[in-house]
Amino acid sequence: MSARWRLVLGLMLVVASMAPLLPLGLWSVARGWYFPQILPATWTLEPWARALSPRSDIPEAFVTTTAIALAAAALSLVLGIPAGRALGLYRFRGKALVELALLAPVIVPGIAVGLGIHGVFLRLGLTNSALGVVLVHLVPTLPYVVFVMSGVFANYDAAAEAQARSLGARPLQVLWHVMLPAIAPGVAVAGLFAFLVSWSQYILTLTIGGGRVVTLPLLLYAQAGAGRNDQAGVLAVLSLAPGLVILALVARRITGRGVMIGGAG
Amino acid sequence: MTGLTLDRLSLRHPGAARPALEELSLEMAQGEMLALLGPSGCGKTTALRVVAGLIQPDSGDVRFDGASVLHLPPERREAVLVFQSGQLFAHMDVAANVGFGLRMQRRPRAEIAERVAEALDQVQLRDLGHRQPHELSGGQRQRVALARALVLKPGLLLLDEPLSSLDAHLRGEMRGLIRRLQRETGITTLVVTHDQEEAAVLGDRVALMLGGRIRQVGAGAVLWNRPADLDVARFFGGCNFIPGRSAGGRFDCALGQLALPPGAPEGEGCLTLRPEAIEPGEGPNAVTVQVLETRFEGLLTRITAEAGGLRLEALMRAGAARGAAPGRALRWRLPAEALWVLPGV
Repeated sequence: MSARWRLVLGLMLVVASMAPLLPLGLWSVARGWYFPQILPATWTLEPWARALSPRSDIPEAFVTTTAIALAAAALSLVLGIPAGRALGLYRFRGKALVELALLAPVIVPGIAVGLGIHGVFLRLGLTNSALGVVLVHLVPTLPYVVFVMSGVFANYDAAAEAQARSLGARPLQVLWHVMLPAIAPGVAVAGLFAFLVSWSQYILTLTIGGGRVVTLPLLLYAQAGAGRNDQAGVLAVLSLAPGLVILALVARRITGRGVMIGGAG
Repeated sequence: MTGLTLDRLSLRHPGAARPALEELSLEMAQGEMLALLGPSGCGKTTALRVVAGLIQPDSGDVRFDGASVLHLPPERREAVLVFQSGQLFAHMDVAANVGFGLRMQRRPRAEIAERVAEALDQVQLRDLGHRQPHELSGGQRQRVALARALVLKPGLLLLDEPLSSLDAHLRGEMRGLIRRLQRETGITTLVVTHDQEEAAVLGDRVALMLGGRIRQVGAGAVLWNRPADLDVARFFGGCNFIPGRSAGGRFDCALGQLALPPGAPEGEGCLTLRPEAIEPGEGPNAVTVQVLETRFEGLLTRITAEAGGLRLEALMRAGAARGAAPGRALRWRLPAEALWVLPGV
């Protein structure tokens, strides 16, 4: 295929995947936009000004969402890296079953998971708190981290660690100087996945947070449901922001180039 | 320099039918270089890992200079293991790789730089400190791995098949380097190999390991020419085994009475001689053989012959093998000094 065709097809793909998002962006800068107008009649930054004003709950929700997503991503890395290591490096009885169980939260509808966990969290006093929301976000984020990391560890040569031990490295030094540098690209990808999955959670945040923990998706659904297209537009753009930023930063990594893992045999 | 004692080490990997190590005992003097030789799967790498502290044995003891080190983790043992593949850290350049162990000890930067340069000098890679591992050839990688161990001045150096990943022409060079460095530094070195020739060249002594235990230890030539038992003889390519009885320096068998070298074991046994020791022609211990088959093996020709109802195999150079055609009768001399008796077989 010629380079020109590749470029054209690539652009078409970008346009096709971005097009549905376009009205959202337009809503956030439109005043009055009705069928059959193709573009808004009047342009305005008024929705943004309102969204960012001190009276708005959007800035606070933005901070809350970011903090929860960061915490959920960090926690799922802490739990998911060792789990991925075990699945990637070792063979053990019932491994397929464990893998299926880890995938289950991705298959089972979030509402079912949320309602089930709600009862448990209620008894533990974790409902209506940001901590509870962070914990319940692990349900969808952890599988991604575990599967990315088990793939990384499947290509990882643990003999490098034994070699480091023999050269005088203590276990924590091995972790820091040998394992982490080798799996760093995978950790970055897994962490970003976890962040984005947590960032866009709605049902689990609503059931466990009980409306007290307000994140951007909650506001987005509320505004969209209330027919406030301008505020919904602002929220949609804000919700998209980290995904786009991250995509721009790591596009090269995700395509596989530059991901190098393990020792040089 | 550390003396090493392995005292009746036993180890069975979980789920394995046979133990990897079975009552393995071995003694190494300070500054000695010993080659641990054995076929793949005989447990020699496992033994090396036990010494390095990477695996705990089920029973038995590992002693450095007489003191047990079993309770010490690998990083606190005076032994450094160099892995078969070299195991260079891909995210560090050559100098950082070599300096790894010193950095783990938190040595001052200047000292590390100095000792790294010295170690790279030793393995003749002085100018490659800034290369990345993937830019190196196989031989260079192996030398970096060696430098990374030597820079720590370990009491005991453990080399796991250091030459097996190298091309044939690099092997000789690397072999010479390892020998020279060992002589210069005097570090007690245990090298594991499956290659008989490598073991003979590298080791002051060779220890043959079969099925999890040491079967014979000694100079290379002793293991070749004076095997302790049938398995040892077979491992070294022995193929001529003649049952009979040894008495008073003579061996009674189907080939008649053969003269033995002094010191040969007495009694019922099995006579063995290496195929390349057989010479064509008349002389003491000459026997008449009927050639069954000849096979060209490059430098040497393998001749299978029959005498007194026994099969004999000889390896001869092209000149000596001339005239050996299937069906022909020849006179072969079995030199007394090449004969050995395996008692009680």
